[in-house]
Parts: sequence; C-alpha cells; structure tokens
Amino acid sequence: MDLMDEQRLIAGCKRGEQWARREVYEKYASAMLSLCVRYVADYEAARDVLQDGFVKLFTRAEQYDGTGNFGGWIRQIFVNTALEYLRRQNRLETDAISEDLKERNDNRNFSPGKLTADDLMECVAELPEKLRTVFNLYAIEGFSHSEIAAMTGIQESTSRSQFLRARQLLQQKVSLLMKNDHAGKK
Amino acid sequence: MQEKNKHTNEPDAFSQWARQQLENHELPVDESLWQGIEQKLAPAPKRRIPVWYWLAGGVAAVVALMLLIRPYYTTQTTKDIAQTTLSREPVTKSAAVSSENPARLSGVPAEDDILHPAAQADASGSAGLLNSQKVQLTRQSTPVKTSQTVSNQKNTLIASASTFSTKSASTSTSINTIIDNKRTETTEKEIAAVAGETPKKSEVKPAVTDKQQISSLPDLSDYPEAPSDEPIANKKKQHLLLAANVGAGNGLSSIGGGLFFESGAMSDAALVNSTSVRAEYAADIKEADYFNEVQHLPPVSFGLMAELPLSKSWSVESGLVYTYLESRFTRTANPTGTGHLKLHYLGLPLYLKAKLWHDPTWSIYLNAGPMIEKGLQSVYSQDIDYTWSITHTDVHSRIEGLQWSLNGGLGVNYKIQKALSVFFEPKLTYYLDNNQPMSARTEQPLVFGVNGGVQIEL
Repeated sequence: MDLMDEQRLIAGCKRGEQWARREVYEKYASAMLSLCVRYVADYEAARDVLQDGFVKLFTRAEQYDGTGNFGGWIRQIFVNTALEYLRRQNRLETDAISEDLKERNDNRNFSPGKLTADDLMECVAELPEKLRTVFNLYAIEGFSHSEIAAMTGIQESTSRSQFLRARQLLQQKVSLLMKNDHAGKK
Repeated sequence: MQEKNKHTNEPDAFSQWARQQLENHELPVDESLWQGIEQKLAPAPKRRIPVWYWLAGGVAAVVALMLLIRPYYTTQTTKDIAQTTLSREPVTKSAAVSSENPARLSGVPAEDDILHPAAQADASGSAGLLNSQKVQLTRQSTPVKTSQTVSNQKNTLIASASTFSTKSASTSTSINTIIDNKRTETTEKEIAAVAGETPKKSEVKPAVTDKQQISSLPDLSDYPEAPSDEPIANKKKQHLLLAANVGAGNGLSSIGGGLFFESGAMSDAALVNSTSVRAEYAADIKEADYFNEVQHLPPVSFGLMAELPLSKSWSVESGLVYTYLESRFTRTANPTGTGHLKLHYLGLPLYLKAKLWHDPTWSIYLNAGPMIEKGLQSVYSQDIDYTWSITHTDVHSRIEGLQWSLNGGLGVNYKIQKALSVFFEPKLTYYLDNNQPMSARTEQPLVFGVNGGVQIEL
C-alpha cells in the first residue's frame, strides 16, 4: 500500500466510512490477532480483544494526527487494549520476583534450528502472564523497562527481572521443544 | 509506536530471534470477527435525553400540579364578596321581579346568585345555618370591584364570586349574594340598588334605601340543604404552600471533616453502570479500586415542594427535588490517573409534616417520609497517563434502577410577610442500597444535611 492509499484509508476511517474500515481490518486483522494471542494466550479471549481494539481504532481514528506511522499507531492501540484486558482480569498484579536473576548473555550462539514462529507462539503462550507481558513489551515491541514500568504499574527493576526470568523460561521451553523435535526425527 | 531497537542495551540473540519470528506473525481471521466489530460499532439504540430536559419537565409537572390543586383551595378559601353589606328588610318572594323583567337576570349563572346558607352563617360569625339567621347588613352605594377580597374585612361572607350585568349595561358589578340559586328573592330592587338605579313603581316592595335596617331575613326554611352540612366554623382556612429549597449534606461520620470527605474502604459500587455503556467505552473504564484516593463532594439539591394541610398541625409535602452528586478519583501510582464522576438525580419525596409549636411569626415542625429518585444521567471522565500516551475517556450513560431513601428533619419557619416565609431544616437521610453508581451516598448511606428556602402561601 502506497502512501496515497494509506492517506485515503485514514481519511475514510476518520469520516467513518465503512469501506475504509473494512480495508483497514483486512490489512491488519491477521497480524493484530497474533499480537492479541501473544498477550492474552487464550484464543477466544484474544478474538474479543481484537474486536475491542478495532472498535477503539475506528471510533478514535480522528485522534491520529499523522505524525507517526499509521501501522505503528494501530499496533499501539492493540497493545494497549490487550493490557487493559489483562488489568481487568487482574492478571497484572505486581509481585516482586524473589529470585535474584543476573543477566547472562550466554545465548550468543543460540541456534533455533527449524523451530517455526507457531512453535514459538506456543512457547510464549505457556509463560506466566506477567512474565509473558514483560517479554512481549520488551523483546517484541521494543519498549524500555522504564516505559514498561509506566505502562503496567510495576517497578522498573521488577520489569527487568521479570524479563530475564521470562527469557530464561522461554529458552528452556524452546530447547526442550528442539530436543523433542530432534528425538522425533531420530 | 516505539522506535525499533529502542533498548539502551542491545537485546540478546535469543530475543532478537524471537522478535524476528513474532513481530509480523499472523493468524487467520474469519468473517464472524468483522461482523462482531460491526455490531459493536452500531449506534446505541436509545436516544439520551439531556438532564435539562428532565429538569424542565419536572418543573412543568410541579407547576401543572399546582394549577390543578389550586382551584379546590380557591373554592374553599376565597372570600371575594362585595364591599357592600346590604341592608335588607324581609322581602316576599317576588315573582313579579322575574316576571316583570325576566331578561334582567337571564344569563346570570344560577350558582352565582347563591348565597350559601353556610356561607352566610360564617359571615355572621355564627356556626348556625342561614335559615336561623337574621343578619343586619348595610349597603354601600359605591359600586364594587369583582376582584376585591374580604381577607381584610370584618363580617365578610364566604361565597363564590358572582357577576351581574345590570340594567346599566356599563355597570358591571360583582356582588356576592347569600341566596340560594333556586330562590328568586334576589329582587330587582337589590340589584338595581347596587347598580344605583331607582326602583320602578310597579315593583312589589319599595326599594331598599341606604342605611335602612332590616328586621328579619326571609324565611329560608324551605331552602334546599347546602351541599355540605359540615359547620363552616369547623372549616379552617387552609392554604396550599409552595416552597423552593436548596440543600446540601454529608455522610454522618464525616461531619466536621471539611467540605468533602475521603472514602476509606470503598463499597463495591461501580463508577459507571456497564450495561448502559457501549462496549468500546466499557473496556476503558477503571474500577473504583484502581484509584487510591477518592473524594466525594457533598450532594447538592434544590427542589420545588407543595404542602397540603390536612389539619391545623398536620400536612403532607411533595414535589420534585433535583440532586447533583460529584466524586473525584486519583491514582498516584504508575500509571497515574484521575477520574471524575457526576451524577444527576430527580426525586419525588412524600413527607408527613407535624407542626410542634408556632406563634404568628415562628413555627417549629418535624417532617419525615420516603423519597424515590431516578438517576437522570451519569457523566464520567477519566485520564490515565501511561507516559507514552494519555488515555482520555468520557462516558455519558444512563443510571439504571431507582434510589430509595428515608428522610427525617426538624425545621424552623419564620414568616417574613403574610404569605412569605423562610425556613431552615436540618435533616437526616438514610439511602438504601439500590445498586446505584458510586457516590457519597453509596459510601456513607446515613447523611446529615441542611435544607433552606422560601415558602409562599398561595
């Protein structure tokens, strides 16, 4: 989609045009459903979050001032909607992780083999709620720990330690999956 | 959205790989998802009626109520009579008058000719009925005005106001007679005398002259019974009272704690009734316990009340009362945020009022009774600061259900003028738990308040 088409879509959404909404939905729905599943883990709940996110997007389209990337603005709305859902479910209650985890960049030679994105999605879905949220925000969306602290209401140090814990667990799950896959092939 | 790779430290290889895998990952969607979105985007079926429409309607209803009730009281209490009290001597039933000039009285409503026996009795200061009276009346030669009342006159007569058209067509004189409509004793002489005319020779009786004394009234024993045989002396002058009042209150346990009180342990009352809010907004509305500071401002109300006297000491009050409630919420932890909830209610009270003591100027009374209130509108605004963005939410919604309360007060009334008084009324109100949005009432259902206002006697 070129810039002209995107501008046309944005203008149409701001006017509440149905055709523009439909095009935006078709363009972004699949990627946003994946994002929602990544945050809330439950597929049916993710569908609800996806719908809420689009409704929010269409009803607040006039708030997009055009200064940033439209796709990024949409992504931000869905991340926010997913976090709201988790808050309503009280799944983001903060409790400090007692383990004193030290960051160890001991995965420089990490080789995922033939592990697919769907496999990784399953591993991420198995992470505890709070760890998964911090991992998604930090590793996938690219927020800093101070930003994550502001968004979720946890301490920055907690965000840091939760990310380390999440990554450690995820690596274990990925390694296990790879081993099983390797054993299955043998 | 955040700039990519915004981390202060470069992510590790595993995280980079995970990001590459998941950032643009997609899952298939079906048509039902889009249909669900379309449904949620459909406009709300019910049109909101602005608060001021409700208020205007309420005021109109009170005014209409007053107009409906007032005629009854007018009948009971009006003492519009002629300025003249007529001196009459007994007259025989003068068929000649009506036969001589029947047109004279034609067009005059029969009821208007009536001088009710009971009314006459009242005028004479006796509890007896007319047919046992001999009333000495004097006549004033000056034509009288129809609208003059006798509230300041002594020896006045209670009767409906009546209007005659006399021979002198230009003289439209209002008199109040004390003659039953079935009687024809209202002689032409009397009418003519009031109109300043000279009686005709053909008339049966000589004209009544000014200051002429009447030794007796005609025998009225054959008059039909009065519509009500209740002795008039027992009928007290009862006036409908209309009051405009303003009131404010506060939770009983917070009295002395300043203008507003801060809620400690919060009830489970919701900020906004989620069933009356469109789905896309409901998702944004925080629960009350999301905020760590809550302030409830004292409810403020004003109303129009009508008081209907039942007896010397008892009366009932009702009317319409509008109440405004406001609460403020603050979250100091990250992400910081504020909320602002405004509720509008319209209430219908029904109080029983007992006068404890009174003198011509002061009176002290007790009143008590229930009030039912309907929430007109809830207006909730919320700002949550996520640092990277501030989410602002405005929700205008209906308030489901009804709020019941029990009220009791001790009031003081001070009469400034004959028909105008002011009152001050400390009161206690208990609000029942009726699943209403969070407010000062839901947090502290027992409220101490003060009412004040003006009262007009109609």
